[in-house]
Amino acid sequence: MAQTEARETAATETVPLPVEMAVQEGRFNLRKLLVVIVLYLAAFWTLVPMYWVAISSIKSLRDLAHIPPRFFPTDPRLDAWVTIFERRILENVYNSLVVATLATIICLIISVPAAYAATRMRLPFKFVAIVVGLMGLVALLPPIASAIPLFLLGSDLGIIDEKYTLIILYTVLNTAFAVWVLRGTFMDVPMDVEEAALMDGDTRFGAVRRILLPLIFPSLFSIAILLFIFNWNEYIIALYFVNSMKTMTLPIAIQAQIPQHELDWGVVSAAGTIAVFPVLVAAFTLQRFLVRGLTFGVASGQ
Amino acid sequence: MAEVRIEGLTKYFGDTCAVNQLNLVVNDGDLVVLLGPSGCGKTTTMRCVAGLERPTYGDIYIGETRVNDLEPRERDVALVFQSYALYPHFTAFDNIAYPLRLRKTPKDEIERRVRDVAEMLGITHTLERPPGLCSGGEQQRIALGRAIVREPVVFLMDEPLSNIDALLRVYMRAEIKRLQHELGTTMIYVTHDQVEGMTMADQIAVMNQGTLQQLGTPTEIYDMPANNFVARFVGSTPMNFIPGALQKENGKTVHKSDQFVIPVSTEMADRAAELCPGGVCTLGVRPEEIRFSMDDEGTNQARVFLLEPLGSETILDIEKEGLLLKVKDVAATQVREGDVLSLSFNRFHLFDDETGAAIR
Repeated sequence: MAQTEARETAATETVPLPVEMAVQEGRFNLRKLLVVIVLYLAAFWTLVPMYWVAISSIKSLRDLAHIPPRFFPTDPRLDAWVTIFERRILENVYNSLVVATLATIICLIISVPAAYAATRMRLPFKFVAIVVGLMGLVALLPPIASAIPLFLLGSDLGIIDEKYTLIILYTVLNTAFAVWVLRGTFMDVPMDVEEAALMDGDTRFGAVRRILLPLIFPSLFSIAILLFIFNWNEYIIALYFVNSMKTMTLPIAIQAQIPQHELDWGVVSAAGTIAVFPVLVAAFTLQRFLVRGLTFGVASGQ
Repeated sequence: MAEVRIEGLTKYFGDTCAVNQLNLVVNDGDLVVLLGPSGCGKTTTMRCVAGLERPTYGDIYIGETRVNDLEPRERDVALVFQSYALYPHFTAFDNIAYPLRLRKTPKDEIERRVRDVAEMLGITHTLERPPGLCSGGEQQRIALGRAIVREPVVFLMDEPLSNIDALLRVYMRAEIKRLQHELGTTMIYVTHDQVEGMTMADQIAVMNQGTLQQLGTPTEIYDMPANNFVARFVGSTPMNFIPGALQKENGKTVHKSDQFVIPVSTEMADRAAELCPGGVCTLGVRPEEIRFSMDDEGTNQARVFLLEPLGSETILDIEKEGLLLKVKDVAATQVREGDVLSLSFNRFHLFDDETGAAIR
């Protein structure tokens, strides 16, 4: 209980100055000061572009074009937001949500049993190494390399410009990564615990459902979030497979705001802000899970 | 309640033979200890009985049923793991209740049986806690509770005491034995600790390199080891071994080594002539079976080079021409380091050097 309280107060405090953070046990620590400064710089480096996009969406044209650039809008307005909603951006949000969510869920449904088999079944080591190795290779392949062949295949099959096509493709492209990470997670759970469940009278499926999955739930959840973010941000494949408003996902919609002539930075920025929003929400609310999930599977030696 | 019958059990992992042609009958209600060094196949044997491993060859019967092709859950066997393997995301209560819930036991009955078992094991106060917040001894008892609560036909224990501290271990082994007696359930208990094996077992099965070396009561195993492996493995102060050969001297058979000449009874000599015609054999004698006197007469003399006081007794380390012997003496020993003792060998065993088998 004390721990959660401490965490809550820490979260509501204002951001401390680097010099304050460098004082440890009443003594000033130069090393720590440097570390904190570097971290602050990194945070600044990451957050400023997001701030810039968000602020640009409510700037007037004069502020947008002003040199030197203005960090605070002098004449905030919502014109760009009105325009972007008029251009039915919510339909794109809906498309992105449907595609990203379903692709994530299906990907997990496929990769959880696959990763389980790769860790728990006594398969010949070479077989596992080859299969998992090949899957890793797919994960490392740049998407653009597969986009064109996939497009040709898709047009032959007549499934271009369908949401389900995107869902299938995203599922396939992420499965390798998911199996890879889940495998590490499964290996962290001792076999004993599952065998105990078998001895207690459970089926293998029951042992996985009642014992294994609840134990790795935090990692499973963070892997799901990661997959969702990958899918949410995906651009290259969508570029080839989206032809109409029916399937247009957010990244494509943002790009579509850039017309041939007369670029309206405000509208593009508003669309960008919408795209970043769910990712930020996910990252902030789940950051504890996210951090644990990324290290949980990898650093199994600890 | 049931007997467990293992017939010709053989288990290969790849090319490695973990268990080789094992035959073993565990009588209904007995506590049988599988004893052996690590890698001797005792855990594999137990896992085959549990159903977590499939035998390569051979049959396993529980009661009258051949269980080779049955899943663990169909065998009605409970297993306590070395690591306890408790479910960390459940409370102790839910851990113990888990096997009952899987059997769709009515809720009030689960409540009653879990509480009964917890009381029997003295862990009622831990029931609402997750195992992570319980001490090692409490976790051990929770694991026992989970095995006991569903009243299985056979208990399997895989070194359940090796992770708790030495003092608690002494209490727990008595407690497990008492529980087993009270419940009357057949138990197979795996350990590499010969003291645990000796104190708990009705029958001990000593294993080495996948084969059964000897099956017998603790007394039989201790007093009449079937071969030099069993003799070496059992006994907290190990048996002394004196390599040599049988010879005739003045019409009597003696075991003659570089260090000692030890007379052998005619009965034993006859058996040896039959079983070990070459006569090359090693004499094994337990530390408490060596008598000594302080006078410096007699043929078998040796010098004490170290005393090991153990409180309740003293071990005399004796050396003669490169051969080391350990001899038990009372705590208040009169012997001092450097003394020369004259030794006599009370009860001893002869082991054929070629086969390692005992001559008797």
